[in-house]
Amino acid sequence: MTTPPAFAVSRRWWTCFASPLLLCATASFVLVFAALLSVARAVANAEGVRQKAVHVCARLAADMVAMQQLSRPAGEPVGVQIAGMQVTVDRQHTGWRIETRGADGDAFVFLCEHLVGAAPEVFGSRAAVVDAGLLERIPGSRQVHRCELPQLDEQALAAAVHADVTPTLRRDCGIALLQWAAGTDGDDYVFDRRHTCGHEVPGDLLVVPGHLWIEPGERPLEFELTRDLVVVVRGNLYVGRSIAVAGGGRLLFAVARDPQACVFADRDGNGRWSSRDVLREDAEFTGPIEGGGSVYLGLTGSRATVALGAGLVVGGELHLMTDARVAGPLIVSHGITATTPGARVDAAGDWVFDPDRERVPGFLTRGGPRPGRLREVESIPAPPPEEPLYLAQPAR
Amino acid sequence: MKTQPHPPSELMLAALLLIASSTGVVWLRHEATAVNATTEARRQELDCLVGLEGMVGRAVPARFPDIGAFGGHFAGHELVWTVAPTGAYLTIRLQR
Repeated sequence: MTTPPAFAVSRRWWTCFASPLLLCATASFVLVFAALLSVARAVANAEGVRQKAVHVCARLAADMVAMQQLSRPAGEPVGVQIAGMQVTVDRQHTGWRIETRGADGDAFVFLCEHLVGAAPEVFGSRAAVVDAGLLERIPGSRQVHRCELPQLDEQALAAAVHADVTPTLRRDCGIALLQWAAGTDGDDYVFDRRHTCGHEVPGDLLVVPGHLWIEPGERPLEFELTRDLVVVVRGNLYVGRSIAVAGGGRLLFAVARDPQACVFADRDGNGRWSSRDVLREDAEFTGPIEGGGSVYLGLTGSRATVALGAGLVVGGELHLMTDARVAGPLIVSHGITATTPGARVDAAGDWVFDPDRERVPGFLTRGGPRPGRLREVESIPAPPPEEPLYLAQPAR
Repeated sequence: MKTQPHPPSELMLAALLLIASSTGVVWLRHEATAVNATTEARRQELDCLVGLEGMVGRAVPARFPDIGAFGGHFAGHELVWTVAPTGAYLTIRLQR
């Protein structure tokens, strides 16, 4: 009777393991391999921490140099030796270019904007209200004094792009009549669907000299922003659908009332001043019937929840016709009126500004000039060598 | 099946091999543990540095954390808060 081949092989292997030398060699190999693996893992962890530490140390050194070189005028780059790192700072017109190079060759390049001052502090909060009664209606909000509210910089607004000259926005005389029986007294603007919102706006500040409407719709209105954009509305903001922002930039709506307009709580939700509404000012009601500075989240035809992928500064009254979610800072100067019972607003706080190190366009700053937040860049091509326009000597 | 007894030299060699490899494994694990301990200390320093970096440019906090001892990342140097009108920032200077 012959042994099947499989059994024969198995027996041969068993014979190999029956040898104590071979068994020890195999066990040693396994044990040493496992130990080497754990050493390799430890070294990899250490290397990961080292790389992160090098990065943080470079940022700290760059921050230090930026702060110290604050008052130095533009000129030749300056090299500083800090803790074994060579830090080269080049003051440019809009800020600094800081390059750090460690002893082991790790190099980082940071760009740092020159800020004329710090942004209003409230932009660092997910939500801020003046009226203490609103604190429980917006979870996570904090109370601020009226003098802490952000103030618009009129000079910056005068120099900013206005809605009349950008193709992103256009006037629409009929949009208000679709919502309110009497329409509005002021000019009404809408985003033009033929253009991608945000692309055509040069600069980072857009002024709407009237009311801004975002029509109700099934799909969110999408913005493509590669930088921060502040839209200042000199009237009311009517939001009928969600807003989505892509591209890495942040969007902030700042709604301010016109000096001639009054702020009131539109209790009956008819979009105009009427006897049942509550005036938020001491004087008599004057100006346009729709008032100013108000924000309406949700319109007739809106979905159950309006999600704003933006920040919101409400200079007047915040009106809720549906539930709303605000991703950025939410700053409410007066009250909140739910024209639909039970409608709530959620200040999600997905992002906030860093007021001490970031610029919020269109608002007055506080404090002295300072370097902005460091922004790491992958690589910056070296500037081309300067060539004289004219030869020093005539060609022969 | 009858098995042959193993020669003493082979047994001796196997024992030596086992002892050598065990010693090596113990030494490697010891080194890995030491590296991990150092890494953990560096990681804690790093977390602290990241927190400090986030405070640069802001008003001076009431109580500074102990920022002198960052020997792992700034050998021979110390970190000192410098207060400027535009906010505090960290200065890296030679250890006194």
